[in-house]
Amino acid sequence: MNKALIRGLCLFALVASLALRVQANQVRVSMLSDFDIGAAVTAVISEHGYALRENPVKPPKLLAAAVYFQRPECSQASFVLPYLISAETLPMLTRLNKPEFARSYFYMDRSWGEQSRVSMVLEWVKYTVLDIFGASPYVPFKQAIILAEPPGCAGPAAIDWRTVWDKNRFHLAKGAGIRPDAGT
Amino acid sequence: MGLSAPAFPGRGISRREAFLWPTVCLLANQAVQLVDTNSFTAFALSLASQNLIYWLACYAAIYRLSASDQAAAPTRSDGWLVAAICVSIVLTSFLPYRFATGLLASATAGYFIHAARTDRNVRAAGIVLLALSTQLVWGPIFFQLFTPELLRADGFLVGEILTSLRPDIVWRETTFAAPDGHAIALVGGCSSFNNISTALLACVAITMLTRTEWERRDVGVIAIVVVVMILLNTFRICLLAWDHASHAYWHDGPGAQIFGLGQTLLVLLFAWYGAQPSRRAA
Repeated sequence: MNKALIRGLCLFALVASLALRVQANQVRVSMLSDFDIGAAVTAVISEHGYALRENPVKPPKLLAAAVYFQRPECSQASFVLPYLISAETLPMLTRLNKPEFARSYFYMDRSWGEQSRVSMVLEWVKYTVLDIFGASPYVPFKQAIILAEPPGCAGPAAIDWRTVWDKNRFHLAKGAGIRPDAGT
Repeated sequence: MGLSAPAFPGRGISRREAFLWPTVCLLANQAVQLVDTNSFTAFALSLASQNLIYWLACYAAIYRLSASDQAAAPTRSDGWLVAAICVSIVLTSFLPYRFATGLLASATAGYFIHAARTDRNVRAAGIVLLALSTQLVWGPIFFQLFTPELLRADGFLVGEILTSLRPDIVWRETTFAAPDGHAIALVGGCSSFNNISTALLACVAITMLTRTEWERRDVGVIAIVVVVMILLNTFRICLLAWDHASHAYWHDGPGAQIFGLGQTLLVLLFAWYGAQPSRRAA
């Protein structure tokens, strides 16, 4: 191979990779900014017929992200707190001052009785890899949820939390969010 | 034909150029992931907030490769590496994750270090490339897995200092509450791990810009830089926990820029001092 051909191929690799990466980055940024886990949690709770309650903590506080809802059989409101899978939840839960509440952790299609960061990161890796091939049913977003429920509730709420990360739901919600006059 | 003989596929270009192409491709692809290309304004803003030490390290890698032997021809394995890395870069550019380019940068760095032979410039470039990929990929992965533990360590240092200076501030692991109602909780961005990671990159980049070999005292310099970074970050968090006005100044006000600039200059100063040839060597 001569110099010009080698240089041409290398230059092509440089330009093509940059063009493709810029495009891929824009798609990902758009996906991340469109994914609102709080809205997804709220929608899933509403779909199961539970009444939403107002969160006493207001933005910009971290705990303002919690979604409160009332189960008829429970004496107090339950809440769902979205958080980054690498964060430690104990300080956040301590500040919510509900030590007697039973906690369950959910991330995509798995649940845990206590926080398991490594397992959640592995789940994220698994679905990120599947997503590359278009085979992930979930949006591989690095936010999990904690469900905290008051004592005497007879088990956790019968809600399929997997739908929070469901890709079809995400695309439907995204489509519904588009203004009718946009894009023409 | 010997192993070091010129061979397929880079017969036409020098070994230096053959190594420069994948390095430039990797650094350019990494750089694209550090800037916001969604709009011109966002792009300009993201350029203004770049980590200067990262770009210094990129320059160091290119500088060392440019200074490598111009006459040497690429071996067969060099040619395969260049072809494999360039093809892999194009294929992984469909993935909007830093991990892919980081992995390729680590592999390329490993090859440079391993195959440098007598060319110390190529080896130095490999070391800088390895430091760059560590800072961009392996460091964040480690941090993601151990964020709470690292934050607790930072919280412990801050808590110990505040216990003696401001015993009225209530400290509980990573949260600090002043009696006037001002309270802070440490999150990922507060960790000294990020500062240490950048400081180590600065040490590697400046050392490899200045010379191509490590010296024993470099270990001491790196240890000092790490301790200084931890102390500075601890001092900063103490200021943030002190009261609301101090938090507003050092976190959201001009203090944040002053602190960031001061910290960068200090790191560069330490790294530059540490990279100077020792008197014994001179």
